Amino acid sequence: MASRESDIAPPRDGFGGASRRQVLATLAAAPLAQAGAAAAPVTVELPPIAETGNSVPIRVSVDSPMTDDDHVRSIEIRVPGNPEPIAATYFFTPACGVAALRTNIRLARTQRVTAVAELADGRRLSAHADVVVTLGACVEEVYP
Amino acid sequence: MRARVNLPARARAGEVITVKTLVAHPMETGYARDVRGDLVPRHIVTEFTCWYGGREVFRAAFQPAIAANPFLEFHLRATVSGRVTCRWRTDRGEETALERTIEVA
Repeated sequence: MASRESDIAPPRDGFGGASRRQVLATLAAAPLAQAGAAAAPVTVELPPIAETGNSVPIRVSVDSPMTDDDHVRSIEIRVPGNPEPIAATYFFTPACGVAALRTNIRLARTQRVTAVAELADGRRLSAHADVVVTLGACVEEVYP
Repeated sequence: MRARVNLPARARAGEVITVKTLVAHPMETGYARDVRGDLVPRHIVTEFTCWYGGREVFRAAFQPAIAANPFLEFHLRATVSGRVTCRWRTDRGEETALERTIEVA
């Protein structure tokens, strides 16, 4: 495999030693572009009810041409009801063709899951979906 | 770590293909307790990368909220025939890589 330097920014290493409260404060302070009805290119698909929080299917897509000038740089899945409020961050390049992903996440409790997309021009867009979790992923013992 | 990568063997130039990946891993969050009540230490896959056409084209950073046996589906635009390499790395430095070839007509 070619050992060429990556064009992709290195992923943020979670939030290091920051506490849950600090992270949530950081997230709340970061302003998001208000997507109007005409421009709501981010979609989050989640089942409305999850029997168990251990594995909940989620699909996130962003309507983007994925050209060199206009593409999605990253998508972050936020799960503020979990002990660690970011589930994952995905880094895209124009070579992806489409900015969409599907995965399975853990949810500790009923909550609003938000996806935040960062575009090539630095704009950030978001969308969310509410999910009722009947039985949370097993983290209750140490839940703050 | 056993892994699977699924993508079409052939594609037309410019076509957007779907890549499905799966890796066998417990994704221990560090919050769960075992039967004796002791915390199970964290052990998760933290990084996924995909290389195509000699470039890194997609990357993901996982936290404990990714379910066990991480499944991930994403897309690539087929441009050149060649290798698609997927690589996973854990927080303990373990690595697994899997290579597929795609023929672009």
